[in-house]
Amino acid sequence: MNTVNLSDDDLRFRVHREGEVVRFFGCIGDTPDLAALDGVLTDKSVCDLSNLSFASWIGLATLGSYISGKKFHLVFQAVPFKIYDSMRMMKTFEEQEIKNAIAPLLDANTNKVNFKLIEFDPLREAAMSGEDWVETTPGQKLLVPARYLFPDLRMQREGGPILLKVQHPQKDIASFWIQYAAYCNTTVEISSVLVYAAKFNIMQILGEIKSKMASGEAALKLIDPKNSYTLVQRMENMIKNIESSFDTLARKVQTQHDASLKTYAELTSQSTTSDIDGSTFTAAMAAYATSITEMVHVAAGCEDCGSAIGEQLGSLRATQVLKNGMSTFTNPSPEMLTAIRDAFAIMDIMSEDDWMATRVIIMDEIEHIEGLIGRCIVTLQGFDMMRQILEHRIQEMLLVTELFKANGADSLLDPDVKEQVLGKIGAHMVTEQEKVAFEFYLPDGFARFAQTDRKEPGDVLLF
Amino acid sequence: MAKILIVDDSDVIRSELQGILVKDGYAVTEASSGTEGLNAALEQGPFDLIITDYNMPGLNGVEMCSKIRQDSRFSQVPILVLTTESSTELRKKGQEIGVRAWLVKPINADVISKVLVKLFSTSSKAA
Repeated sequence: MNTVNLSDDDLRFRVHREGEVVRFFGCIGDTPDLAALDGVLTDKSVCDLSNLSFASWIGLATLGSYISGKKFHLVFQAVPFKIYDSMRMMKTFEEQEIKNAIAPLLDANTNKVNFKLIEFDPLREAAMSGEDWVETTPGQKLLVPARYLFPDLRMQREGGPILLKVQHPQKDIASFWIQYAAYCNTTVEISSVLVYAAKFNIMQILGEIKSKMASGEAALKLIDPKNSYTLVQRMENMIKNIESSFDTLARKVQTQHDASLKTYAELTSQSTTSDIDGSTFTAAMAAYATSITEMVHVAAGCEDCGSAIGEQLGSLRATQVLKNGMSTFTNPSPEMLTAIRDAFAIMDIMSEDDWMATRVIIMDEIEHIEGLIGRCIVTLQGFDMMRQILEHRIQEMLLVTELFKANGADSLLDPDVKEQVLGKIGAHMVTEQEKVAFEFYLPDGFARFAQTDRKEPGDVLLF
Repeated sequence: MAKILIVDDSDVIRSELQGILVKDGYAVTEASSGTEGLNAALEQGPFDLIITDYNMPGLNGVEMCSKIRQDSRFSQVPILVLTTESSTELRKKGQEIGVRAWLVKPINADVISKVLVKLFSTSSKAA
């Protein structure tokens, strides 16, 4: 995944209609303003997502609910895979048609992963006929088994083992490792999206807070010119520090995620090479497991980043200054009233020339700032979720690497190891993302090990 | 009869707006993108009011109005932005090119009618 480093206008979620095609732009954060779709999106619309930089899990779920609530049947095209990764596991998108997506392909010559637009119709045929590893063009193999591309193909996902060419009697177990690696890869991808979701949500909110504070400070300087105010300066410094914390974490995530994707690609490559024996395959699995265990630094970074940001947000106590200044001011001259309204960019024509009505709008703006700060704090939960998801995968993979080291390659082909890993996934599953991914990738294990009813009253399944 | 240009990429919104405006006795010209809106203004103008969405293909509503404003016939025409966007930053962009009013969707016929009456009464006073 590329780091999200975009301008404000690139981040803002918006849609344009061009004929039958509705183009999505910007990012879908946790609280997307889907009113933008009203009157633009209609039944049978073609939605082009090629310009959608990213979508958070919660934001996508909200979009899915919006679409299913309207009973729309839409066609999605050019869906970036990091978005499709989540979309395909959401039941609200099951009825929607995916025409094509920008998906990861492993180049057999260079052994590198490229992202290209691939059509879904031939892939669906492949998935339905039990062909899991598809070459979209010669030498370009899709990194995801075809059975996992289509949410409605439950029979295929619950069907037999993924076809492997590994020369080993324990093909079922080898197939399990591929399924588990696909599960792991997706949950790691989803957890890294959480960092970008948190960055997007918080930076967007802080930008809006800064704009409102700049308005407030300009108005305060008008009504109290002798006082010096530094709200905007403080806010700018805070934004700079928070952005730097995010970027440090994002770099760590990117580096480690790239490394794990490389070992995952190697594992899928081993599974489709005809003259590979079981021990070479399990060695590739152990290498993938090692790359996941190395994410321990990323998990620790999540915690540090979240608490550093929380501390800075907690120190922001500027709304009281604005409230005090605006509530004690009365009877502005018409020129002053116009200047104050201009400072807040108030373009509600019905309240112009009326200070009391204008003050109500200003107080609403200040209240809104407080709400935005609260939303930032809630968003920080994303760091804890990311840490948890990574820690769960690390613990599972430690089992793999330790067994491999202690007992050699064949130990990973022991059916009991599979049961232990499934048991760990079931016991650790606390986030919604892990739950749906477990059910999606490992339906048999989910049926046997998911402890879906173990929650106590009042417990929350985190998003 | 006052002439109003409405610019929105949603057929539904344009049709809804047109219904309200025609009922209130205005003459309406429609455009479905920023570029079409610009062309309509320059070729079919002048207009007494421009109502525009913000997010549209090609030019956004404020970019379109900024170009329209460069034509001296439109330097004083009142502009109403009707959008789902409400951020301070975007409103300030509108303010810079002299947007007179900013309404957040969904459309409320009563509010639109009242705002138009106020817009026309204040702009005629200013003139």
